[in-house]
Amino acid sequence: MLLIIQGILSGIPAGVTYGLMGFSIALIFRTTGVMNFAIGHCGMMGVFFGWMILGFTNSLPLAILSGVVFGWILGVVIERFLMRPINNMSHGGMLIITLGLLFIFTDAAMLIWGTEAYPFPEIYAGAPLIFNTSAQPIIISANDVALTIVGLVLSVILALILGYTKIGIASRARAQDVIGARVVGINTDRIDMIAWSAGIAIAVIVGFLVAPKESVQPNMLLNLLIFGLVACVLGGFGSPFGAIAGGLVLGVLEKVATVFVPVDYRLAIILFIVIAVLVLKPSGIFAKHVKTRA
Amino acid sequence: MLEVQNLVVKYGAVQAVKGNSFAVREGEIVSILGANGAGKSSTLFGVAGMIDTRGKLFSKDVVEGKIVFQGQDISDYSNSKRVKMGLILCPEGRRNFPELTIKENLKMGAYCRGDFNKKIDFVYSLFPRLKERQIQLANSLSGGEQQMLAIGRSLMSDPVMLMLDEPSLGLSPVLIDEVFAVLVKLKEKGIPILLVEQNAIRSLKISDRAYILETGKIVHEDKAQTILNDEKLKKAYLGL
Amino acid sequence: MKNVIKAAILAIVVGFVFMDKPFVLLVFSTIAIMSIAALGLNILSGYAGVVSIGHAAFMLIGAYTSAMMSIHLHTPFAVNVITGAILSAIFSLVFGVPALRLAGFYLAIATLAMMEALVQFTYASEFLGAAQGIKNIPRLFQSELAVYALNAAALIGISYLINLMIKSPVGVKFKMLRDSEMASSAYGVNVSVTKIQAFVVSAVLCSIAGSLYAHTIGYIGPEDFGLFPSVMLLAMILIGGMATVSGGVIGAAIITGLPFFFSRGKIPMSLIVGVALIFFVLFSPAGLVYRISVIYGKYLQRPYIWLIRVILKMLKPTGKFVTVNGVKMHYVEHGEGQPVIMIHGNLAHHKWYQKVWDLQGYKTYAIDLPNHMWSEWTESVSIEKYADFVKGFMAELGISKAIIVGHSLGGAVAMNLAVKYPDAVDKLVLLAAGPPTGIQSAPERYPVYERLKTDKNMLKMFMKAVAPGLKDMLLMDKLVNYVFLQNPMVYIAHADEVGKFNITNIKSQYKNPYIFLLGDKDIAISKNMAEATLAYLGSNGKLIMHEGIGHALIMENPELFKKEFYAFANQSI
Repeated sequence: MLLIIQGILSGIPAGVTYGLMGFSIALIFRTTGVMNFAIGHCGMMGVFFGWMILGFTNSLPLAILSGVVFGWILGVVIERFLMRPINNMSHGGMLIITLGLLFIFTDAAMLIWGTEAYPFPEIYAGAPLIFNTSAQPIIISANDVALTIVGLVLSVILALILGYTKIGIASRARAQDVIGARVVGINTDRIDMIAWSAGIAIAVIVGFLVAPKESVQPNMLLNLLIFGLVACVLGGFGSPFGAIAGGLVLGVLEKVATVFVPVDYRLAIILFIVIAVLVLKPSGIFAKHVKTRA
Repeated sequence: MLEVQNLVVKYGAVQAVKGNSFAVREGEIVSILGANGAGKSSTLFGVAGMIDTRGKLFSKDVVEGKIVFQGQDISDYSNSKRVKMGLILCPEGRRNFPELTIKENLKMGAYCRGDFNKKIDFVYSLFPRLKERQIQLANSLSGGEQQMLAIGRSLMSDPVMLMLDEPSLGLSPVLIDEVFAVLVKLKEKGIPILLVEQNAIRSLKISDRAYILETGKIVHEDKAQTILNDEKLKKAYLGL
Repeated sequence: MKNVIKAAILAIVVGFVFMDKPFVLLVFSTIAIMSIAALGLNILSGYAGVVSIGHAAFMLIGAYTSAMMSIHLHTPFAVNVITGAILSAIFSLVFGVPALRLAGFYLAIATLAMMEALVQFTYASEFLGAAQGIKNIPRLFQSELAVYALNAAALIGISYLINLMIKSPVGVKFKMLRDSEMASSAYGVNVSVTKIQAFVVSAVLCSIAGSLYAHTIGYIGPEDFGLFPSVMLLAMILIGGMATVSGGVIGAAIITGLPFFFSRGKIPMSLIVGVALIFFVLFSPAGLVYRISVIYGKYLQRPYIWLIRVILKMLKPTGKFVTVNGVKMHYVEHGEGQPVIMIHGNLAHHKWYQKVWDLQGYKTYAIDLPNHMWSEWTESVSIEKYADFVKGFMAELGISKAIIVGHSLGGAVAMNLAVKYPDAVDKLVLLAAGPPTGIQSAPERYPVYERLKTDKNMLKMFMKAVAPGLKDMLLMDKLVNYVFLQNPMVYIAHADEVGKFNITNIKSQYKNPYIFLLGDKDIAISKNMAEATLAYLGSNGKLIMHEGIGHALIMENPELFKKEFYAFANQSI
C-alpha cells in the first residue's frame, strides 16, 4: 500500500511533465491540424539556448526566460516559413516534414553544442521531504515538489488564457471552425503562429523541468515526445487539458506499475496499453463522445 | 457602398466565378440568385476575403478583380481588415463554434469590431431565445436557433454592410418568416444587404435588385420587382 | 525478367570490382539489406498509402529471431528467415487488424508506439541481451564476397517477386487504396483486407531484411531498430521514389552509402537526411527515380531523337509525290484495280498500312497526310482541311471515286470526306475512327503530349498501349522512329483539333455502305463512340467488333482486316 502511495507521489511530478508535453502537442494539433513529431527537439533547442545563457550570466531565471523566448521565436519561424506555405498538404507529408525537422534539430544541436550531456541545475535544490510512516518512509524530492507546483501553475495559467482571454477563445474558435473564425475577422494565420510559438515555449519549459534528470543533450526530450504523445492518446488529441490529465495518469501508472510488474518491462507494457486505448477509443479515455478519426 | 469589378474566383483548375461586376448601394437589399454550384457562395467568399492565398506555397486558389467598399479599394485587404471596415459575411451552414457557449460565440462576433456590451442587448432583443440560453454550448441549439446565433454573431460585428449566404436553408416556414423579418428590420436601420438565397421568390420579395448567376457568370441584372413579374425570366433562369 | 538480368549483371560487376575490398562489399551488403526493408515499407506507404514510422520493429523481430535461433538452436539460415517472417506476419496481423482502422496521424502514432514497445521490451529482456544486444551471430559465409552475393541475390529475387505482385490484381488494389479509399471501396475493394495484406507483406520483407542484417553484421542491439532507423526507411523511399521498386534501392544506397563518404566531413548524416526529407516532400514528392526519368525523357533523349531525324531524312522516300493545294504530299501505291485510299491516324504515317496494302484486285494508295513523314508541313491543322487534302489528292491523280479507309484520326478525316463529298466515296471503311463529336483531352494530358516530342520511351509506351496485339518490337520501333519526322506542332495541335472537332452540325448526305471495325481492347475508342458514329452516318453501315484487338487492327491482325475488307468491298451494291 505504501509502495503504491509512494508510486503515486513520485508519479505526479513525472506526470506533470508528460502532461505539459502532451498539452503542447495537442495545442498545436488541435489548432493547426499538424502533429508535430519534432516538438521535443524544438524544446531541446530552447533549453540549449537557455543553458548557453546560463553559462554567460549564471542566472537561472534569465536562462529560463531566454530559452522560452528562443522557443517562441522558433515557433514563429517554423510557422511562417515552413508550415504556412504548405498548409494544404496531406497528413503524410506533414508528418514527414516534422520528422525531417526532428533530424535537423538533433544534428544542429550536435554541431553547435556538441554531443556531450551537460548538467543543469534544479529549479529548487532543497532537502527532500520525508514522511515517516510505520513501515517505510515516503520520500519526495524538493525539486519534484517545485516542479509539480510550476507545472500546475503553468496549467492554470494556460487554462485561464484559453478559457477567458479574447485570444484564447479565438484560438478555440479557430480550432472548431476555420470558416467561422475567418468571417468574424480572426486572423487564422496569426492564431496558428501563436499556437506554434506557445506550444514550443511550453516544450522548452518542460525541457528545463526535466533537464536536471535528463541532462542537456540533443535527445533529452525524445522520450518525453513519446510520453507526450501517449498522454495525448490517453487524454484525447482534441483537448489540451485532456492531455494534462492523460499525462498525470501516465506518470502515476508508470510508477505504480513497478509495484506489480518488473520495472524494466513497465514501458513496454504501458505502450501496449496505449495501443489498445488508441485502437479502442481514439478520442481518448476522458472524451465524452468519440470524434471521427482523421 | 460596395462595387465589384471583374471578380474571378478559381479553385485550382475550377473557375467558380468568371469575371463578374456588381454593386450594392446605400440602403439596398440585393439578391444573387442561381442554381446550386452557380458560384454564389464563391462570390461572397471572394468579396469577404475568405480565400487567403498569401504566403501559401502550394495553394492553387486565385481571387482576382477590384473590390471597392465605401470608396476604398479593399482588393488586397485581409479578411480581418475587411471585417474591421464593417463588411461582414454570415456564411452558409452557420459556421458557429460548436463547443463555445452562445455568449462566447457572440463575443467572437465582436472580435474585430463592435462594442460587445452595446451590441449584445440589441442582438438579445432581436433573438430573445439566445439570451435564455447564453451559457449553453452552441451545439446544443436547434437548427433555427443556430441560424439566429449565426446572424446574431454577424450583427455583433456592427456591420456597415451585411452579406448573408443561404440564411433560410433548412429552416421551417415559420422560422424563415422570422429571418426575413429580421432582414427587413436591418434594412430599415440602414444596413445594406447582399443576399444569396435558393428561395428565389422569398428573397426577391424583400430585395430591391437582383443578379442572376449561371455557371459562374452574371447573366441577368434587374429590379427585383421586374423579375418577379416576368414569367419568362423566372422560367428561363430560376426554373420557376 | 530483362531488368532482373540487368540488375544481376550490375551486382556481379560490383562484386568483382570490389572483390578484395571486404569493407566496400559490406557497405553494398548493407545497402542491399536496407533496400529490401525499404521495398517492404514502400509496399505499405508508397503503393497502399499507409504511413508507418515504426517499421524497423519488424526488422527487429526478424533479426532477433534469426540470431536467437542460430545461436541457441543452431538451425540453418533458411529456417531462421522463415521463422522470423512467420513471427513478423503473425505480429503484424495481431497489431494491424485493429490498428489499421485508424487513419492519418493516429495510425502513425500507433506504429510508433508498437515500435517503441518492442524496443523497450528488448531493452528490458536479459535473454535478448538487453541494451548490450547480441554479439557473435554466426556468419553465413566466411568470405565477404559470398555474403554480398547472397544479399544481392536476395534483393534481386525479392524485387522480382514484388514486381510481379505489383502488377497483379492485388497490387492494383493497393494503388487504388492509396489514390482514394472511398473510390476503391466503391469499386468493390475490401479496404481493410487490402490494407492488412499490404501491412503483412511489408512486415515480412522487413523481417527478412532483419534476418539478413543479423547474419551479415554479426551484432545487433535494440537501438539498431528504433525511431531513427524507422524514419530512415521512410526517408529512403521518399528520396528514392514512392511506389517504385527501384526507388527503395536508390534511397537505401544514398542514405546507407553516403555516411561512408561523409565520414571524414563534419556534417552529420541525419542533418542531410532531415533536409532531404523536407526538400523532397516539398519539391519532389515523387522521388529521385521519377525526377531522373523526367530529365531523361525531357532532355537526355533529345540528341538521340535529333540523330534519328537526321538519319531518316537521309533515306529516300519510297513513294511518289504529288502537289495538292501547294503542299507536296507523299504516297505509295500497290497493286492494280479499283482505287483504295488509306489514311493513317495521329502519331502515324503511311507505313502503318504496310501489312495490308497488298489487296487482290485493288490499287491502294497509302498517303502521308500533310505534316506527316515525307509530306510537307502546313501552318495550321484541321480535320476538315485534311479531308480537303485527300479530295485534292484524288483530283490530282484523276480518281473520281474510291474506297476510303481511315484509321483513328484518319477515320475522322475519312468520315469528313464522305460527308462533304459523298460522291467521291464509293465505300467507307472506318478503323477505330474518332467520333463525329471529337474527343476532349483532359488538360493534364497536355504535358504528356508535349513530352512525346522528345521522349521516345514514352511514345513507345503510348504505342504499346494503343496496339497491344503488335508483338513485333522491331517493327514497333521503326514505326515510332518515323513519327519523329512529323511537324512538332501537331503533337498538341491534333489533340486540340480532335477536342474541337464536331461535324454533327452538317447533316450527313453519305448514302453508300460503310463498315466500322473496332477491337474490344481499344483504349482510345469505345463502343459508345462507335455507335455515335453509326447513328450519325445512318443505317447503311454496320459495326463489327473484334475480340482481343486494340486500337490498331491493321498492325495487330492484318489478315483479319483483309478478310473483313474483301467481304465488304467485294460485295456488289
